[in-house]
Amino acid sequence: MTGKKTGLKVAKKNNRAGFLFLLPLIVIFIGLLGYSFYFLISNSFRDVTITFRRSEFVGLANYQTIFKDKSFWKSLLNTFILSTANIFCGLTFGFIIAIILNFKIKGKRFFHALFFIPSMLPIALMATVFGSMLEYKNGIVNQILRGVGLGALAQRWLADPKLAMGAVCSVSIFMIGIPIMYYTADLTTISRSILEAATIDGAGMKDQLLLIIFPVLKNTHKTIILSMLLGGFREMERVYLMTDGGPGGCTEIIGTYIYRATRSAGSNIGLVCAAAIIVLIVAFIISFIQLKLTSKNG
Amino acid sequence: MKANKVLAMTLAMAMTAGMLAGCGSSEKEVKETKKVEDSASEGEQITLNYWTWFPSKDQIQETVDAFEKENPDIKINMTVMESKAFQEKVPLALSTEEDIDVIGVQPSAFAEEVQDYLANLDELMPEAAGEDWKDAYSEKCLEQGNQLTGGDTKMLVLTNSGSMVGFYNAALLKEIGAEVPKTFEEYKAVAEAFKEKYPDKYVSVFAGKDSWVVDEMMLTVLGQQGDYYNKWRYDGEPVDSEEFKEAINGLKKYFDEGIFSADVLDLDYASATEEFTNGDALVYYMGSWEAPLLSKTLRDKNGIELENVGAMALPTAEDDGQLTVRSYIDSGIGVVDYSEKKEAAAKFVAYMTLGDGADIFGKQLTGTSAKKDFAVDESLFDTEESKAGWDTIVDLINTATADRNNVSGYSDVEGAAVQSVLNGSVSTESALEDLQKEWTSGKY
Repeated sequence: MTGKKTGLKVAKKNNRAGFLFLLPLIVIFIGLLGYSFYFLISNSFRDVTITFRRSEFVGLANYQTIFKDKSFWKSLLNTFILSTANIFCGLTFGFIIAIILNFKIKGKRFFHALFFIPSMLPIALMATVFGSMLEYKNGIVNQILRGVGLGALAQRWLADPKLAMGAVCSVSIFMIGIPIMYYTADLTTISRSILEAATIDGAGMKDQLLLIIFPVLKNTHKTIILSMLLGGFREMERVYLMTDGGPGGCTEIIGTYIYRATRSAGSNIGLVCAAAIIVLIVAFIISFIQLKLTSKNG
Repeated sequence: MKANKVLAMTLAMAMTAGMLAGCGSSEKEVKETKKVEDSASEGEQITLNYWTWFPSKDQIQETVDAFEKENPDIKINMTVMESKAFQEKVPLALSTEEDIDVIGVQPSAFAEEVQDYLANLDELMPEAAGEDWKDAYSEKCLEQGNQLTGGDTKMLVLTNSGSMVGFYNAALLKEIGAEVPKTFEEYKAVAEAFKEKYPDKYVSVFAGKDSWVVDEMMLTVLGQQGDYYNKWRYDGEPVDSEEFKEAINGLKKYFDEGIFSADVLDLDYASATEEFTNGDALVYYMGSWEAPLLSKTLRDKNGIELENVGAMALPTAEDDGQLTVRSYIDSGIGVVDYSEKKEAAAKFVAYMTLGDGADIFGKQLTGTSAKKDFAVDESLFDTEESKAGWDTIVDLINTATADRNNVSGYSDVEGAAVQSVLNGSVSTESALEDLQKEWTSGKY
């Protein structure tokens, strides 16, 4: 009984120390994040400009305006399309390259670094480079096509509504560094005995890849899918610098939609806050699904 | 074990205390810095902090130097930022009473937004420029400025501008033996002759990737058909109208007839300018603020090697159209109401808008002045085309059919819709229907 009491005391002391360690983070969290949420929620019900001078309570009017705004829904859809492109590249190219790099090949570290470098570069830099590469007249892509006599294939990659979203998504292929890292880490956890047993049972390379390795890495796939899906909501620079949401708003994503809305003189910040709250709720739902899925798989 | 716990708790408390102390000390530092700045401003020399988006430091330096020479006790500390960043930062800076004395005022929703922070110039100008200062200043500019600031005079104007103006490469035009086109048919003929000689160059360019520029182009076409823009802007006429439909279809006609090529929609402001200044485009459309292109002196200063540049109006899409642009007051200037250096600031504003500063700054050709007796320095023009070009711009600004009183957020949306029509992804009717909904959505 006394031992139990002593144990509780120790646990209480541990808790206190733990809370004290967490205190700086909690202060920052409440101070910054808490205030941000409060700011967004309270202003989403107001008609107010960036000076915050003549603020007027408008109830749900801002939400109604956003819900009726076709370009908001279009930008939300585009955000998911961009995330899908990121996920697709991660799950296909990322997976295949991780498998190849798992073999004992010469220069393995160099290739690891090579594929990871683009993930370390600022997206703004990549977007600027790609933007200039895909220009119609002076872009290197069209110049190469013209140079090899395929000038007819030169396209307005960023100005043609049919191609612009695809052109923006094409940058995703250079963002597979993180998925490669996830896969490489998890590949080391696969027991060699499973693969050896499969080899004895006559499974070829393709079968091992598709029937064993791919399913075994399902938790990694989930992590990649959900982190990239959420990552889509933080995208901004890529679209802003490559197309600025154009042509005709066909590549607008949530990041550029919100950014544009805040930057116009005299714009109603309440609308921006309402849009941000809606996006936040969508992101929370995705996070909730992520938590549920990961907790199920322990 | 116990010692470890004590150490851990002490460390945690130290971290928390350190962080809180950190916040406290930085706040104290800020206060102290402000004190130092305040005391410095109380010294003999007054430093005026002037924030603007236009003109650039290069364009205004000569004027500022002349002002400082005339007023040795006043120094101008200028901060220039990009237009959109300016729209975003200045209202916030004013709401937190940042140390700003003079600001550039964009004659748009921006002016309405910041008007509460601007001093009434009716009270300051008599001392800075004399009781009769209004006699030397354009009545039209005063009226347009006052309209934006609740009837009070809270901004004066550095320049008036008009858009869109065509700047043409006179040397290239001469090479194909053509005259400046005035009608659509003439323009088409020039385009055909030019493409035959220079298949790799652009006949005409504008920054078609930037939606606000596309909007400016469409609204120029609208302005050439009459004053419907003003009716829409001030009298509540709808966007979804025959007039807008004609304007959008009119702009499309230039594309359909090969005057503009589709890849113009891939050019942003910088690249469109570059195509023209590199000699790869015959005509370049932009606002009158690009008039420095007309002067060889100013071109040389900016490293532009074009031989001869003139200016023209966009030839009208319809036969009954008028060669014109939309014009309005452009770059305003005002005194910050909470500034403790309002008198010195008013002196600077008076110098820039009514005094010698207006004439010195006028040499930059960024637009027409609001100063009544302003006359441009003719030595800036070395060819007939450049002189005639400037006269054309002045004439276009003075005879505009509609105000260039843009609603900046909506301009982007409208321009994007026009881009979609030009790209063939939506019909004009559908675009106008959406624009009508957007305009009446309560956002603007």
